[in-house]
Amino acid sequence: MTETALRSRTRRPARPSRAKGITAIAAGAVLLIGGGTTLAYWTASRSIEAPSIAAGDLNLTLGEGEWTLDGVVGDAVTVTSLADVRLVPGDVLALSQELDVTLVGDTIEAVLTADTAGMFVGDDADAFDVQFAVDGDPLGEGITFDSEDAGRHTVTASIRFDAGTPDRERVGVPIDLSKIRFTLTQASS
Amino acid sequence: MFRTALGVVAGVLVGALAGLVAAHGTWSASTSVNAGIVTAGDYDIAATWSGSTPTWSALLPGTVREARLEVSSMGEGTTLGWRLHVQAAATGPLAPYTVTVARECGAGVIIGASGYPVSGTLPAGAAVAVCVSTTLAADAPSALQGQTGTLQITVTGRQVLE
Repeated sequence: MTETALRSRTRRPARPSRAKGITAIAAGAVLLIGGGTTLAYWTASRSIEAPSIAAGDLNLTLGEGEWTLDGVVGDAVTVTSLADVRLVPGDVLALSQELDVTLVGDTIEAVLTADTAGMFVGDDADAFDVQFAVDGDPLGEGITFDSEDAGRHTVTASIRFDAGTPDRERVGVPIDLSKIRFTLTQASS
Repeated sequence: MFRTALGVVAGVLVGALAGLVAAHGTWSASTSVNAGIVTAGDYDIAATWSGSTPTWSALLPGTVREARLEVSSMGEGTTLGWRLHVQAAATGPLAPYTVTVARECGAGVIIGASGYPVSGTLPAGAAVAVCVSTTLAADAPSALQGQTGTLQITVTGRQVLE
């Protein structure tokens, strides 16, 4: 044995007697568990026929949509080409959109929301007021559906160009209507 | 050692709970409107005198001088309707004795405070010829002889919002 090894051994602290006891108990427990695996016991199992189960469904699809433009001057007109529309202050561009809600589940509830992120560039949104409604009820922060509400609904979106927009502000600004996004999210407690 | 064991148990529980939270999901479906980009319109007007800028000199009491102003609108707006407004402001010693009137040159309709046309609106791109006439009052005092002043005409195209 070298001198270094000897020094190392002599420096090692003495194991407390309590720790030794715990080690002994743990070793005993391991032995008992090991012994337990050798026990045999009777067992029997049977399969019973039960109804099959299936997961529910949640989905959201768009049906037909129609855009109308209601200006300060004149009557509202149906828009056939959004690319040809040039909005001016006071205009209300409205969408009537069929929305098919799929909700299958004994306990399912889901919240429908609308999002317009990316629809406007910079602070252009300040000049426009966008509101949504479902079957005539304001959508607000969202409307909760359950499975009985599944089916077709009509969502309306109105984009109002602030009539108080002064001088030549906001001329030529783009509005990306494809950014209007509806989301149906399962409600959770 | 007991405290250490408690710590280990708590740590295991927290880990288990964190695992449960991470595994908790909800169904969700999204769809975007099938539409493209719509653009705001544009609107502006320009006004130029027909010919050179008029210089009305040697005005005598009771005389009328007239010039033609071509007003055009530019831009586009699907529902845009606008009216033309003309304001005149005279300065200098002649101001109290001058009266300036703007008319639509065709039918001679006076362009008053409500603008032109009086009812209805002009579409984007419309042009209007405006005849501006200034009269020096018949009772202008002789002390005004040789005096000069300026006349500023302001043409405004205003979108109709009512």
